[in-house]
Amino acid sequence: MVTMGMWVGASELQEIGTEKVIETLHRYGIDRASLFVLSNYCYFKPREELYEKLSIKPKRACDRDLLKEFINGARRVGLEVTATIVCMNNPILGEENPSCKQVDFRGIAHDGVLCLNNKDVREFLKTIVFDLASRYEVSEIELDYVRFKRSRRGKYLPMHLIACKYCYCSSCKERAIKSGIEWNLLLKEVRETFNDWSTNPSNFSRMENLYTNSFDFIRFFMERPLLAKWLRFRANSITDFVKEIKNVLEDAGTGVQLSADLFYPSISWMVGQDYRSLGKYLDSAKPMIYTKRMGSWESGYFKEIVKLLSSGYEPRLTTFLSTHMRVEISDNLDTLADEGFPNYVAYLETRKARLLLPSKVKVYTGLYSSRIEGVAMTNPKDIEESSKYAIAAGADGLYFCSFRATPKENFKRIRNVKELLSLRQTT
Amino acid sequence: MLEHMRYKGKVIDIHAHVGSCDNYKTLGLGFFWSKLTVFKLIEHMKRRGIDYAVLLPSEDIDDLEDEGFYIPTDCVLKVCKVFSKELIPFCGFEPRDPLAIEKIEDYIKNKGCKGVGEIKSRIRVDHPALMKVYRLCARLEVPVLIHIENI
Repeated sequence: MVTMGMWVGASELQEIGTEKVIETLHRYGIDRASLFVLSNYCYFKPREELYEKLSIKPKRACDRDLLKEFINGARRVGLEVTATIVCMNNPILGEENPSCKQVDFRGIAHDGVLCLNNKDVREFLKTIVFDLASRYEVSEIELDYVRFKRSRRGKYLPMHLIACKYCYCSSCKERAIKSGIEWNLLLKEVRETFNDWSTNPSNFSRMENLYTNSFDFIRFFMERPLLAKWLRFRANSITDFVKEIKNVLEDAGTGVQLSADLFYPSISWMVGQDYRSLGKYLDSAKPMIYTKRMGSWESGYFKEIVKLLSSGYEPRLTTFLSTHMRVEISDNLDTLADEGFPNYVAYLETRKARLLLPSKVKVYTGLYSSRIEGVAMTNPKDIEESSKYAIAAGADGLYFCSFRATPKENFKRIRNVKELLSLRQTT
Repeated sequence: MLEHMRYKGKVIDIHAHVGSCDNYKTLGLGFFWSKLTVFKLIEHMKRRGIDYAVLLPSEDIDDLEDEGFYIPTDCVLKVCKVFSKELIPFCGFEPRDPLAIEKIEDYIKNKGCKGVGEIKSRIRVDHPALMKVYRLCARLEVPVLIHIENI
């Protein structure tokens, strides 16, 4: 049976009503819902004594225990519930705990992103997971934003996609030194790389050589072994964290499984997500292959580069994406923003995820079902095609993003696709 | 060859594909098939003395899984409109789609498709879902093209 899941914001339960959300999900054949229970604020009732000795404490969004309400309603219709926690992106906690923020190579802290190498952040998240898994009847804990920040701003575009702008906080430094990285040499290497490759026309030509010739790309890292080691360290940091979360779930002893929302495999290495090593600890992975949505996301930072260079660079920038992702996309950034990636990217990236993960790990391909003017105009045909592509490439299920902005006709097509896939298993 | 024995009629290729068009690209075999654009197909036809080709779509998830091939009927229709003197469109379908019969009928009656296929699903050739399609084609008097192989 193909799993059909959907991400649901807890605030939507407040605005639309828990029963109405559950009824809609059930009506359209969704059998699993991932509820964001920690997203800046906490949408469940934490057991206070667990957090007494911690320096970071959960901040409640309201008096209601929305997770409990959701679970009770979901049980009535046979809907499975996943509790999703946004791990690193939390400006509210960041403001209260500035020492926990991710820091770039220049020593500047990011406003809203926390570092998971920080012990306080780690303990806080592990406690949240224990609290949820030991007291709530959820099928899974899902880790969202479990990664290093991928900056899309400033004069270091697009080199930041290859070298790492984040994180150089004191916790990362401490762990890196323990792992054998020579910190001062690393900082020197990173600073030099960013300075040597800052965005200007001549550097852009060098950058172009890198991404159009994989042998040049290999040479880039061969000449900078410390940078390659640093990428490995970042991936190990994320994997270690996921391993600790898995241990917490085993301690809770309630059989709750572990899942993670991941960048699509072609670029996951840039943010520290190594599918192969994460696969040792995850029960399922959700590569977020948001076909239409990728257009406005990716064209956004390209537009910043165009401001620094000139509009003549648009086709050269889009070639970067099309070469890297093996997709045909518009060479006009406005059109790219509207059209997004072709639906077949769901096939290419799902297949890659399937190959990288052990077979015991379920792959639920994350697809965009929302229609938001100027952001992603997903229509029913896109839902059907991207679903087929993902399933044909080996996905065990599909996960749609997200409840709030999914129009009725897209919901209907999700149900049709589910029927079609169910029939496929019986013929 | 003796001149009087030479075939002088029209030559029709009854089974042609394009590997990419619009936002679609054949993904299997290292993208090899994706290089076959409609322009290359037309050029090939001219070189080989082929007058017409039946252009076959594939909307079937089984074919997508096996070969990474997915070129929907709308895409085929678009191509055939541009090369209307050379190409003849057939329509594809997903046999498990509960609306398949309505969709095929619409493609034949209203959108210009001249036949159905190729059928390449991993289901029995006499499966009830396909029998319905054959009956519809008989009623509409259009041909069906079936790809048969061991599964």
